[in-house]
Amino acid sequence: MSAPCASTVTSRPSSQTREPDRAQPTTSRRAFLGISVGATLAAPALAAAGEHASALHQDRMGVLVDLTECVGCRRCEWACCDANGLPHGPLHEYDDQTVFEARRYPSPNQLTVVNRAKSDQTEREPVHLKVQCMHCDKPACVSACLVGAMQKDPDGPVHYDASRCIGCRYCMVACPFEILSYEYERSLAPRVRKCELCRDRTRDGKLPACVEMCPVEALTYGRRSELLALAHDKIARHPDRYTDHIYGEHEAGGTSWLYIAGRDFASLGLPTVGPKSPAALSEAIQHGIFRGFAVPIVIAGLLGAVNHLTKEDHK
Amino acid sequence: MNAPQALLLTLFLALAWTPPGERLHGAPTQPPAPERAPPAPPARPAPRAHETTPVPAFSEPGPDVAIIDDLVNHYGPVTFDHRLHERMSEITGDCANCHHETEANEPITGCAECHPRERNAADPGVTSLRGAIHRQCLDCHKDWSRANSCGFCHEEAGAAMHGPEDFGEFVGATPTHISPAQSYTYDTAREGLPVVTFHHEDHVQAFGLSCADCHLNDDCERCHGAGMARQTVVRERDCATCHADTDCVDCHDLTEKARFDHAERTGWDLGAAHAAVSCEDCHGPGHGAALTVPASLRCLACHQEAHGVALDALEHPVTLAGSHAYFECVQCHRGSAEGPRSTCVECHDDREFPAWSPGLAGW
Repeated sequence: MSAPCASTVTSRPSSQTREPDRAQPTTSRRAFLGISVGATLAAPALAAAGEHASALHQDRMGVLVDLTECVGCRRCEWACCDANGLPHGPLHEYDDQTVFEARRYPSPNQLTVVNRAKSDQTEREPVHLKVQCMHCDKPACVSACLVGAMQKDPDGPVHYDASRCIGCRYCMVACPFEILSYEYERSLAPRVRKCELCRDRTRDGKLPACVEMCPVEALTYGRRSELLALAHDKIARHPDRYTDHIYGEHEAGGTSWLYIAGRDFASLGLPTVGPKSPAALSEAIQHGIFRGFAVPIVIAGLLGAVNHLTKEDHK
Repeated sequence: MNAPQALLLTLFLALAWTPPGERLHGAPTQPPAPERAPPAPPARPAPRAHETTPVPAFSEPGPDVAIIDDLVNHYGPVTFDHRLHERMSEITGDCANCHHETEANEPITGCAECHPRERNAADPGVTSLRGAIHRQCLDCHKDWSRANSCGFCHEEAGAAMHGPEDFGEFVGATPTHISPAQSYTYDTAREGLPVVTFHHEDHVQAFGLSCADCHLNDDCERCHGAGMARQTVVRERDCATCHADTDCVDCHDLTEKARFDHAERTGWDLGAAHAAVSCEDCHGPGHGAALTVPASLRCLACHQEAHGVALDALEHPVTLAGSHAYFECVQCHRGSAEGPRSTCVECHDDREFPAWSPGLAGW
């Protein structure tokens, strides 16, 4: 993995320096198989290199969602479809609030959706929850992907590369937020679909489409570190308005998308996720086993010894 | 429109929606920002006079209508009925509801003085002008009968714009759909006398109370229905504001109470002429305990000046000489001005009352 990536906005290093990171991979699946054979032989070296693969830029970007500001207008859904070339109707169709009657999940044609949380009876206004890929700092989907089709950009976005994808959908199983969707209805070359944090737009200095569209600026795009400071400051200044919890600060090892709200997040429909990345345990086992190739050598040695000691008996 | 109004309107016209696609995070040619501590988005100090538009804020009337037409992007302009909102704000917290950085009798602080037209990447805690205005409106219009759709305020993109002239009758009119009941009956928990009857119409019409007299800092939803809620308000006026010294039984009863009837309640029939006189004209200012029998001075205030009737001791049909000149009018005029009056024998009888007066017995 390359060095930490440069910025997508002007106050960060210029966009030229990020180009190597964003260069389209040229690896075909056939070439990948060849690589994988070599990689198996070089497993010890790869395992050591893997420890550096998750280096994240300290200026990585994210989005802070203030759920106390969201009015449930669903314009972010429209903007997302518009920016990603997905089918969508005119804006006024998004006034339809009957969609809130059932909980919705992101789909190949809607990379972000707004749900209305169940009323807790004390609130006089409904609370709305926009969901999309959380862009984890230590993404389980990246860890689960066999072929490196899921990659974490050091500056924030978790990026999906359809040209590498073999369609195993392990990433969908791995995602603790149940975000990833799959083009089941597309018979040829179906893809996993997810929010890409508008990495193409931000590379051009624009805001993510949903952030730009939000009329009440419930969404704020910026450095994750600054967003955390902003969120902590809001909570400190308005303790009656917010619960003292930033969802995404620690969840799943930290995420690029951060939420603050007036009540606990489990009641809003966000999954309760521990502070450890779901990938941490499996990666620890895998990397532990293959560290220095010691365990395979020991096992192979044992088996060889057993074989050697037992084959005499058959003479 | 005078100059201050024009300036205020200009402020509203300045409200804008940043066109999408414009670089909100600055131009790419800018040098990278140096490493710095994450900004703690602070509570901004309110801009002071030298930064503000010199418009006397709340002592001067605001515009009737403001056209917010700078945006014209996904949606068309907004025609904002400032006068109507001004009237509603009398109840819900004054002009500072929206003009939150302006204090009474200070110049209006323009929105754009704190909220930049474009979001500033260096200070993510500051809401842009577009976001601030939307929040200001949607704080109330959030879930008002599900009418929080954009088209509730915005014209369709490209649609012909409404001008103030199209709002001539509408602007500032009392909303006709708000029609409180004549009376409300409450079942209180009070033991023995649980029923309280509140005659709303009488309080408004007979007692001349304005909405804000009672509904100060009241909930919007009291008029606009459930869902139109502002959680921040605490109602400041209740019955006890006026009725602190009123007897319990004046309001509480076993059953619904009849409306206030001056003749039945006080024994003084207002008749045709006095019914049109305000309470204060006879009883003086104040409510509740201050309601007393009118002093003669208050009768004379009208009957001498307004009617041109010289109602002093000399012109009175009965010569009010001696101690009679000091009588209260109502000592003789009981029940109503035209009603039964005291006769001489009520005081001057053959009994010994008053002891010092020349009773009939002495004649």
